[in-house]
Amino acid sequence: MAIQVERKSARRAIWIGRLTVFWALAVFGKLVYLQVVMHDEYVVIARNQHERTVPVRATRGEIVDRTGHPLALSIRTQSAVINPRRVVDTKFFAGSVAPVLGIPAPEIEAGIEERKLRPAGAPGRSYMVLKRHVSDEEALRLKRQPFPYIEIVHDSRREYPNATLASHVLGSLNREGNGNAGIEQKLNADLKGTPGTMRVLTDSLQERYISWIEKPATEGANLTLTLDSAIQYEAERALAEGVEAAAAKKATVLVMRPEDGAVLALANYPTFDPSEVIPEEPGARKAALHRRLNIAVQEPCEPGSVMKMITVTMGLDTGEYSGNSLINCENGRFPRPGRKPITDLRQGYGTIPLPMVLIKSSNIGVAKVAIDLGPRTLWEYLMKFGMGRKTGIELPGETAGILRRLECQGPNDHWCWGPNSHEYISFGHEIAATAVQLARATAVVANGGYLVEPHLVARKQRPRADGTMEDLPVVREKPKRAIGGDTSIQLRKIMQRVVLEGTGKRAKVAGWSTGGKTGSAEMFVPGQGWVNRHNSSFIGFAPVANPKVVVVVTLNDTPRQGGAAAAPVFAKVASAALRILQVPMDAPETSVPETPEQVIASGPEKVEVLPPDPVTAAEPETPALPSSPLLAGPRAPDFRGLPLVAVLRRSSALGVEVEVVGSGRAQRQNPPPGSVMPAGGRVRVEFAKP
Amino acid sequence: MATFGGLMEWLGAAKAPARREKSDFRLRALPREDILLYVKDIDNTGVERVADTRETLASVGMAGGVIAASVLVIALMLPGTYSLVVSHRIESLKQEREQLVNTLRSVRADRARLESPAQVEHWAGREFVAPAANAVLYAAPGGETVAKLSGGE
Repeated sequence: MAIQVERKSARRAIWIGRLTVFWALAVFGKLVYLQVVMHDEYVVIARNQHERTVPVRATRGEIVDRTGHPLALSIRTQSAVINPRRVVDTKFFAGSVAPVLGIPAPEIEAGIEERKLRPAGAPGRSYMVLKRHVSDEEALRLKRQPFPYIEIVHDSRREYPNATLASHVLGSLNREGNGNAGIEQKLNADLKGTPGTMRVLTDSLQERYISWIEKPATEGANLTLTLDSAIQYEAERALAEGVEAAAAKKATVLVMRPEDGAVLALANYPTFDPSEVIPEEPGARKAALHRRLNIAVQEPCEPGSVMKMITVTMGLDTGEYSGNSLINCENGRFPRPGRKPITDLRQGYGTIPLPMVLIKSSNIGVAKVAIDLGPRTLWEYLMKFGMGRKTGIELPGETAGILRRLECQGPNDHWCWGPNSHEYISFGHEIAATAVQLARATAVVANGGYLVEPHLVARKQRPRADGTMEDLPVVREKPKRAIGGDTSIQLRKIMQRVVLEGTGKRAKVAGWSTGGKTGSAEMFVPGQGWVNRHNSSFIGFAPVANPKVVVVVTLNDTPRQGGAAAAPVFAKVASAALRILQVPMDAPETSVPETPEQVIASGPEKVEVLPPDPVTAAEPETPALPSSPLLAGPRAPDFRGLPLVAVLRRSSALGVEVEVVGSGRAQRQNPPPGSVMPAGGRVRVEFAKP
Repeated sequence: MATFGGLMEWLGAAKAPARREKSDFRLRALPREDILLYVKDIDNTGVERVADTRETLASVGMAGGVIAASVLVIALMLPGTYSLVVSHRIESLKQEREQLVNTLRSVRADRARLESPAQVEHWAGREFVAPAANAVLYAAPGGETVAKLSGGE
């Protein structure tokens, strides 16, 4: 009995042992199958679960002005997107999501339904942006919604913190984040950078715990522009005021440093907000695109009389003419057999020296210089001044202007100079130039005779991964000599006289000497012919001895001519630029416009000595002592007894500001004569009729 | 406790004393139950415990080995675990850095907006008060001054 029990137990134990061995073998076999046979497949599955490749975004580069003030920078944001085809109950979805996003539900509903109806393969059928740049709170609330197909994706927003300032220089971005105007478009590749890739390992909660760069991203380059935001602001304001005063339709102003062609300000009117999205509706779209037109580089116009600067320069630089050369201006009408006569618009001049031809803006005078030197010489000088060629400024869509070939390539070639083209080109007809071309040409005169390359980018830097900056090369041509230095100085003096005694008197700037040239080209409207509207312009520089700024102003479609419309804008812009650049003054700061009274009063003064004022006589004039030596200003001059014009002239000569009360002759003044004035103080002069 | 029957009787005595009187259901005594169910008290007071050093050492060695192995395993796993924790931390710091850089950009944009020429002029026009003449200090003319007013008439 006991033996039987033992055998049974042993048999059972053997079976359990066998089963255990089989089970172990099965486990081992499965392990071998999983670990060896299916190794590669499961490795791939595991990697897909825990290891992912994610893109490393390249941040678009910043744009700052020459002082480091940000003009454009990018901020990373997130946007909410869906696949509209996965939305089952559109009404319910829209009603749930609308309060979170602050968008009307019908708008969301209509958008989804419209996309659902799009034909297969049509763009946007499976993708709809619910809202761009959602806040963290909005994103969190969206994630809590019972719609798993709402995705929060990375996005980026371009900020233009100065609103419309320098919008034509900066440009804007399209929906895809690529530049569609301005520097944003021209240097898109530099600014955008190249995205990279990164491998990340994630845990069971899909939170990454290890990442390594697979392909490094190339960050967008930061651009430091030559623009000065303060000068730019002043230029835009002066231009808007000038446009309003002159009833112009379009306008542009450009401020350039003559020695190297650095553009300090470039403004157009009308302007636009870079943040605004170009609308889809055709009419609004056309208007938006019109505002984005960069007139300074994309729209050439006939320069008119400003071209005379080049013709006179040609005469002097070739040595054929000097400052004393006399030119017969035919009393305002220069008839040629078989040709239309050339006339001077304002008044006729007889024989005048070459400088007066420019000062008085005589068409006949410059035409005679061009006729004398011939078309080839004029062509060569136009080339030397960069006419008919793109300047290479870092802005898109730059035009080369209009300058036809000197010689025709065949009998049917009409894009060439005619027999008398050089006569008309000499005073700015049959030729078209952009504002930036005119600025470059003016800079030749202002900088001693070198043709410079106008540019906006002062520096390019690319951020490295370690936080340092890598300087990128900015390739620029060296200035080329175009005219002699002596010619440049001669021209500057002549152009200063244009401002002092010629057509550009309104371009005077208090505190600095200026030189320039006005220009007016009558507009030809197809169907209407020549209309009494002009493209008015002014090119100039300041100070004359060593110009620090070149300013070009062009107002299109205005009834006023350059001297009346563009010169005042020049004065405002040049004054602001010189003040901001802290250029030392070289002229009296308190310049008073010449008036007929002043002209009369400029004769020998007969000052009637009045009896001393009882009030002032009673009070002994004790010169007030300044509280600090640093507060010492000039001593107050004695204006008593002088007429108004004499007071103004004297105060102007002394640089003392006066406050005028009443009319007649000066009776009393405060502070009294001889007292030390506080620096920057003014003298109150009370006038009374004797 | 002498017999199994006695035990059962003792157990049943408390529960159904009345029935016990009515019907005798007690089990009969098992044959030789006094032998089978005899419990002998063992007195170990006279037993002397002999120290088994080998067994003790073996036990301690076993325990020590297990502990050492555990420590070794933990030590081996510790760097990996630590690096995992640190990796998590590094990743969270990376993301935090990205957020801070983005915030910095946003702040710079706000600052630039406030410092824009239009804004500066707006505030200057509203808030600027011309200082009194004696509150202004004028520096002596520098070398670059090209013109200055004479001190007297």
